[in-house]
Amino acid sequence: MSAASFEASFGDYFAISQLLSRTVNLLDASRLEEWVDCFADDGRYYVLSRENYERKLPLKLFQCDNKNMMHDRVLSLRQANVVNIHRDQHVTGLPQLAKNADGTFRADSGYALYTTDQGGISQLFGVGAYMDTIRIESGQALFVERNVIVDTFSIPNMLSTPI
Amino acid sequence: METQTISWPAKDLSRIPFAMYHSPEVYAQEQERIFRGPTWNYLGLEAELPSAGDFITTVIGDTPILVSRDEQGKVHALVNRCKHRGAVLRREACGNAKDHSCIYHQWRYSLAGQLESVPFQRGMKGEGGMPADFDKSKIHLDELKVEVYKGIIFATFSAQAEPLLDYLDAPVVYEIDRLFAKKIKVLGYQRQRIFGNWKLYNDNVRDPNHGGLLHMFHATFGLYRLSQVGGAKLDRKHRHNITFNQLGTDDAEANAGYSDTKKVFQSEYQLRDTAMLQNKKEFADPVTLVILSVFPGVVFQQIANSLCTRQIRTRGLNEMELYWTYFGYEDDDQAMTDHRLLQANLCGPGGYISMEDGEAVEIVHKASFTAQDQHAIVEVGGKGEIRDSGNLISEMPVRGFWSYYCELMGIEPGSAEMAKQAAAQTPLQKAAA
Repeated sequence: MSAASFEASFGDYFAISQLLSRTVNLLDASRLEEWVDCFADDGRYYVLSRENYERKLPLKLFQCDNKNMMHDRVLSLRQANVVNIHRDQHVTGLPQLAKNADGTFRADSGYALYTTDQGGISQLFGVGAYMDTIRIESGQALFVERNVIVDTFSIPNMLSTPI
Repeated sequence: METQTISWPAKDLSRIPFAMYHSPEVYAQEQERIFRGPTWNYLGLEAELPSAGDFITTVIGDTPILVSRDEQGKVHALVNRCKHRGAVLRREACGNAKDHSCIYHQWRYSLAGQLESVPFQRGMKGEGGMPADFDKSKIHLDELKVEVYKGIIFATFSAQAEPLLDYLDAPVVYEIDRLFAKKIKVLGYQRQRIFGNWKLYNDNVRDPNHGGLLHMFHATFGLYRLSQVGGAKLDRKHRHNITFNQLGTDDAEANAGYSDTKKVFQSEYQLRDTAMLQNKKEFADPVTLVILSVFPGVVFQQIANSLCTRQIRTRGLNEMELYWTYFGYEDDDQAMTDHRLLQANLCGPGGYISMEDGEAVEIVHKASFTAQDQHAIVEVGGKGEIRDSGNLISEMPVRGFWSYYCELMGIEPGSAEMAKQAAAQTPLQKAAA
């Protein structure tokens, strides 16, 4: 990434930072319906393993090509799937930003995700990286595309809630 | 080592001792008698190593395996362990190479596993190196017998194993012919680490009954209901299982069976995007789901257009990894590939209709630990003779798995004495004696 080619106002940086922190805070609070609203109307959400990403294999762990598919994930989690009872806690790193030719931003950041069971025992669920494309409109940042590259791709038990 | 008496009260295997999932002695014996015994074990797909020099690393039970294609195109299954000091020879998941060298002391093997060179074999100025009688032509990586059928690579440690097609038997071969009628291409992998004994997953895939009860997505959105046309077919030894069904064959009357359940069957929910649920008909028959489980450690899957293999990798007594390899056909157009990828949302560790299996295995493993003198009840679908099932309300294939398992382990169910004798013969006990 060329630092010289990149200009972002503090306002842009602030809007992006707010989006990144709001996203994981909503997930950690299990406010999944509101998490979907972090995406633009044409937003996409993908979770993929580092293994497939590096071998250029197209298979994902979650593939939501549109917001309806994100809503369906949440609906299924709420109404159909039987999940392991847990609470999520994300710890995320600062984003590295770049500006794309179409005016959107590319934001790369790292995460660690811990899960805590009903007995108060926390375990590392996984670490990985977010590779996001973010659009800012009227001062509000939204995801156009969020790619979660999972380093811990041997998923413990199950992948139920989004990362 | 404590001597454990495991009781098998039912000759028809309608009672499975919980101790079988928790005994370290049993686990050690399984590695020897099942995984290194006369079974055929799935290693991978030829499409994963198409060219000379291509290799993949995998496991059979706990034993590391290197699958290597030599210059002539022959696939070798080698124990991935240097003969010198026992080090892991190939550490990568996959790759292409001219030979296989151990990083520790650079012993170099051919693609077929023959030791070719040892650095400083003759020493220096008459000093050091290997003794004069060291004969590298006599050193070869431990090699397994390989059979490739329809591009699927199987291997066995045992010279006593039946030929692969006899082992699989006609009903299984029929399903493999159906799923692998065309050349395949790999779309990617998924892995799921489950903290439970490997046999609990074998039980799970041989239990069509749970599919329509645990996996609520299935039932809620109509992909798989116990009320649909389906069943379970077995091979002559009942060690493998084919669960199959046809979606859309249920009606309101049949679905009344769900009336006692809460939340499992809900007709009021609709997905906003139903593209994922579509079955693009690609087989001549109306079957939309096949879960083909081959003893001891692989499952072949068709769920609508989502195709994959699931390899069961043991990781000790209390842990296993499921290794999912998704594939399509070489002649798929982009739209079909995209559809298969979208439908992969259904399966794997994050799959709408499979994510619960990890949890199911874990909660059985956890709670059965403190009930090792008790038994699982396996009666759905009937007791007595093990046979095919004409509908999905059956767990009879679970008994089939255990009947062959007991045969290999030298266990005679229904006879407590036999169980004691079997336990007395474990290698660990021999060592302790």
